[in-house]
Amino acid sequence: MVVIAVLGCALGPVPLSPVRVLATLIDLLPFVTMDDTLSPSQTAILLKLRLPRVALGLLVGGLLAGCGATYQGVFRNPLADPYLLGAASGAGLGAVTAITIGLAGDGIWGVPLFAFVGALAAVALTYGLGATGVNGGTTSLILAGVAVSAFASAVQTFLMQSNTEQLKEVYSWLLGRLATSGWRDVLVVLPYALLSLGFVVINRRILDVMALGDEEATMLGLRPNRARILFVLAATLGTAAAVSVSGLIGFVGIVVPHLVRLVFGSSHRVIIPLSIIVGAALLVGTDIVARMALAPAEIPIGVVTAFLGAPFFLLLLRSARR
Amino acid sequence: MISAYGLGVRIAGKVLLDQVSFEVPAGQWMGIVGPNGAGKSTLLRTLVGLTRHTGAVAVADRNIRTVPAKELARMVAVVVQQPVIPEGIAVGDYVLLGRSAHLGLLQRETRHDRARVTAVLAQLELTEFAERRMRTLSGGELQRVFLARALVADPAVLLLDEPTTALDIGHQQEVLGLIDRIRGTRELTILSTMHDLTMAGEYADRILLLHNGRVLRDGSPAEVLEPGLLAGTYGATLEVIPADPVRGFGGPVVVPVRSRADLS
Repeated sequence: MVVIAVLGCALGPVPLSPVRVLATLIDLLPFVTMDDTLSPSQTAILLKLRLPRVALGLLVGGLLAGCGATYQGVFRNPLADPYLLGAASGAGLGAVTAITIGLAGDGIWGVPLFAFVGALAAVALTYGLGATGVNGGTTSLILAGVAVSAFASAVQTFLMQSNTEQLKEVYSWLLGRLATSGWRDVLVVLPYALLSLGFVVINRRILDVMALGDEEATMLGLRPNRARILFVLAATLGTAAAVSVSGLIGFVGIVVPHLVRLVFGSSHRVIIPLSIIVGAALLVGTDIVARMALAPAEIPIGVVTAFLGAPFFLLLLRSARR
Repeated sequence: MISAYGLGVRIAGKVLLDQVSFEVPAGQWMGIVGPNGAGKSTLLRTLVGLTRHTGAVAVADRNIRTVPAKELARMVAVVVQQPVIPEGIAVGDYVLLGRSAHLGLLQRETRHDRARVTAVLAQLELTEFAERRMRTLSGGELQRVFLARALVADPAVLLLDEPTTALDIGHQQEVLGLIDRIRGTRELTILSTMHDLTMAGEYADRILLLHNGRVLRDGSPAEVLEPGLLAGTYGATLEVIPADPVRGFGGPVVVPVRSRADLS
């Protein structure tokens, strides 16, 4: 993760030496001085452009992967992720609503709050619809998620079409992006990320208890419904925060936890923290590709994750079936 | 230690338990037997409050309705018939889940919790399996792991639902013998549903015979394992050889035999 983060700072339209980037960053720490640092203008690029972008990438990637792993644990379904449950599209709808009614300008609270409300409503709706099926099975849950997502997207498209003046802004946001206005976006996400991931990481052993099913979890003294609500709230908050600053970046939330589970087994003690770290590194890595592949033009990062993630996901599905 | 007072359970109009009452003193092992559908598993689930029931259950003289879920889980541990095994989980991690009842929200397992796991694994001769994944274990080993998860909670009462069903006779004896030995090391009250009537008579101090949700008889193995009663209840043809400690039969031996009508 550290290596990718340094590379993420170094690569770009103005290439900076990774070694010097590292040296400059260490130099910024108190009580440490390094000789071989970047020039002042390079340092400005690093601190004002690259570093916030990398920080945002780490946060968003960690959030998406960590929340994906949480959803999968809570619903005991490897296919659950921020997208399939409707959380992301709900957050998207919330955010678009905020943008179209003109709340985006004073930004810090408006968009994330609307995104959170939208995401929560979507997950509640998905859960409400899905749980009414026979046995409240996970299949009906996922199907409900697909329906809710489609509905939220439809409403969102309607909003976009009836507010064409903001169309471009909304559209670039929708495709997923990490382009930032300096540190502001990072500061917007950070408290939500700490709250959401903090809760999940500290309580991750409970996800292992829930993996035993409601009945056995109850026998171990857990109240499954209460636990489920708390985890879903935490994961939805995290998803909404990520979506509100970076738009819709798909597949990170599902591919990363799968990958971690494949390699390190299924205890959430391991899956949750590793998913966060791997997700963070992966998103920054993907962002490098997004910036460099068609330089000087940027590919929206959501396009890159889908481009890489979708085939990989199919591969995982195949190997899981065997 | 655990008592039932007039328990009744009905689901969708069907009576699953009706007026089931008993008191099991601390340290006793009660076997629960009866034909399929008699209500054995429902009874165990009701004893930990998992069914909507009439009547009352008391553990250590406290009505379980007034006991918080975590506290109840610390007093009563359950091994269900087919426990869920999370994909890819290691034995040690699985057993550690048994400590959940001792942990609150935001709390992590302490060194003490891990020490309990180590001790119980050693007691059940599972130490070498601690790092192994559950899927790689045999039936008898798995049953010991399930038992370990229940025991790390340090319960006063252990409920076992068909602890030996999937096992061959050697492993059945191994598991039941193990439970009996643990009962010797500390006071543990055990209620286990059992299919094998002879095994029930060998290991349990007392047997409860259920039929259609009602208690047909409750008493010592010799009182319950009676040919006429069993034949009628199970609709089976069988012989019972009385307990004979000299020949090594600790309890009555129930032998299903081919019905005479078939032979003629």
